[in-house]
This record gives sequence, structure tokens and C-alpha cells, in this order.
Amino acid sequence: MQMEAEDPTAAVLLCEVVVMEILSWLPAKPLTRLKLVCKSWNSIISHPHFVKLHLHRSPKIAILLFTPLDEENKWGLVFSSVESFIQNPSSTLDAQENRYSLHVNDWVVGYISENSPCLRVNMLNALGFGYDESSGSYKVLAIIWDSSGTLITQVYSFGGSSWKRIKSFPAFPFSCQDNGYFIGGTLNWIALRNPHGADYDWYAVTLDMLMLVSFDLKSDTSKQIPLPKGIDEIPVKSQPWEFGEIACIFFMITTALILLHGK
Amino acid sequence: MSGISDTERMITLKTVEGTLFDVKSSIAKDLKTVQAFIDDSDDDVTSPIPLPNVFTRELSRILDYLNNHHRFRSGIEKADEEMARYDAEFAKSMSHEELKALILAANYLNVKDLLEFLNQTVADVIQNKSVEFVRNFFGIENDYTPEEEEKLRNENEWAFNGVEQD
Repeated sequence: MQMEAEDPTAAVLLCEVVVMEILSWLPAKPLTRLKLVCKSWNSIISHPHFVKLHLHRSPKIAILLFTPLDEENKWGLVFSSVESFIQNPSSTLDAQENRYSLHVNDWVVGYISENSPCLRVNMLNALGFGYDESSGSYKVLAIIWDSSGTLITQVYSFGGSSWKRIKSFPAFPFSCQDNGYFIGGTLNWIALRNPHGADYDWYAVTLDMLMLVSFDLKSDTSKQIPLPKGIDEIPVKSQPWEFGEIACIFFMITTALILLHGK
Repeated sequence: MSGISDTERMITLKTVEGTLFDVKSSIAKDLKTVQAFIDDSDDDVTSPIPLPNVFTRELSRILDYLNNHHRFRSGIEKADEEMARYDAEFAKSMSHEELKALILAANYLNVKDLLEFLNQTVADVIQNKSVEFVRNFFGIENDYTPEEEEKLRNENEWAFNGVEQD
């Protein structure tokens, strides 16, 4: 009795199964690039079986999607693979009894239920997303106005079962399009001191009411950082820039470029 | 009654070049393809088992890996650190060609833990490399037309930042 020999010409290439296994360890960005290697790799990477294998590898390769569940301003978290959203940005959320399933191109990539860590919000002011190296987890920060006009800050750690309310921010992020700048384990915003509620008068905002708020993802605490001296206009545009250990936020204002040392 | 216990039994494997390796049956169990062959055989396997797809260099490395891992696992404290150091050295000691050849052999012999380790190692190698590098590494020919490639690249532009130059 002899052990079977494989076709010697096949030995030159690693077989598809092995390629799939290797690729399943890669995060989404290189994986997306490698669709260009050849057409069969494009098929492999896009295949539902591979998506599932990839998702299985590590929660760090997956993302949290913070998505509206229904009409009542309820937002929930769906665990999903980056892959599926890269390929298919359109998706549908179906409700079945108490479970919502997120469908991407007909295959279900995530579930949330009534028991999943949902957050009821009246008005979502800002959302931040970052990674805490010390605990190895992703965190979502939600800054919300509640019905009485108070500012509440909630943090969700990926893998946890509920939102944690934390000591509130000293101020609220005034540029609501921002999801916070994630730099060196902290989330940062330009913020407005002593918020008077959701309806503040924008034109009454002066420079001394503004500051930087930095939220530390490791300790779940926030701290204020005054804006640097020398700024005499309200920053209209800001951009994060990271270089190794040193993280900076550039503030571009109409007349000058101010460099702020973030860490 | 006076039979040799399973763990002491030796299996002989023969590589493509004809080199013979004596392997303890406890180690041979990790070579799942070989183990399946043994299990399927009607009689006790006494003659060397020929491995038509496995070369001496690869089998030697595989057995080295398995022997060391068995040793680390046999209850010594601080084995995790030593094992991690061994694994790092093991991966570093091979060229890309040798790495691929070892994956082929480990895949054929179905050595699960080693294969997983090697796959992760290759993933680390290619993670930040260009598409062209990866094609060369795997010996793959590009079957996209220039137009198709450009279109795909544009659609996925975000993924091309921060790639190492070849």
C-alpha cells in the first residue's frame, strides 16, 4: 500500500485552501488590496465562506456598527466583519420578533436583539470610536443630550454587555460632524465649555469658551486641555496627524497654522 | 503482555530523496496524513512509509518543530516563553521559498498546529506589501486587463495608503 502522490505540477502553487487560510489572518485593508492579485483571489476574498472564516479569526478584525434600529431613536450595535461592508455598503436591517438581523447581500452578518447593548437617545451629539491597547478592546463613546437637557456620556467596550455611564464630559463637542480624533489611546474634540443645553447660540460662542477635551480610553476619564495661546480665531478646520509616538492636531484657521502637541 | 507500549513504538518515514527518519509514534500522531495511513492499514506497518511529496529538508524541519513542541508541552514551567522564542527563531530561519515549501509539506502531512503557525507567519510577511510583491511570492500571474485593474484599484483606493515599497 502506497501513500498517494500529488500531481507534481500542482506543487508550485499553494492550493486555494491554504491561500484562504493565510488570507483569513489579514486585516481588512491588506485584504482589500489583495483582491487585485488575480481574479481568483478576488473571488476567494469575496466569497461568503471566506467572509465567515475571516470573521471567525479575531474580533479585532470585526467592526461595531452603530446603527438606528427603529423609529424611536434607538441605536444598537451590530457585530460585523469589515469585509462585508467594504464589498457591500448597502445593507438591510430586518426585524423578527425581538431580534434584528443585518443582511448584506442576502447573507446575515450580524445579529442584535432586545437584550443587546442598545442605547436610547433623544439626540445624539457626538460619537467617538477608538482602541484601547491596554485592554485590547475597541470602545465606542456616545455623548448624548437626555430629555432634561443634561449631557450624558456613555461608553461601550466591545464584548461587553452594556453601556457604562461615566462622569460626564466637562463640555460638549461643538463640531458635531466629528467623530473625535483618535490619537494615542485617546479621543479628542474641540469642545464648548459650560454648555447651556442643546440650543446654544453659535454666534455668542467666544474663544474662551472653547477648549480641547481628551477622553482616555484606558481609564474612561476625560480631561480638559486649554487651547494654545496665540489662536485668535475659532478654528474652522482641524486635522489629526500622527507620527510614531507623537500625536498632533493641526488647527488650520484662516490666517495661521497652529501646531498643537497632543500627547 | 510484554508488548511494546504505543508511545515507544517507532515509525519509519522515507522522503523523496530516500532518507529514512525514525519517528516515535506519539510524534507521528501529529502527522495526521501518516496516522490515517497507519490506521487504514490492515497489518502493522513495519516497512518504511514512503512520502512521495515530502523532501528531507522539510520533514527534518517538521520533526524538529514537533519534537520541540512536545518537549515544551510536557509540563515544564515557563514553557510558553521558550516556545514563543523557538517559534520566532524557527520562522526567521527560513527564506520565503523555504517557508512556502514547508507549508506545502505541512499541508500534505496535515500537521495542524504547525500549519496554522506558518500561515500566520506568511500573513505577517505579506501584510503591508504591494500587490506585485504578493504575486511574486505566490507565483501568481496577473489575469486582469490594465483597465480592469485600474477600475478595481480606484474603487478601493483607501486600501492603498501606507503600503511598503518593494
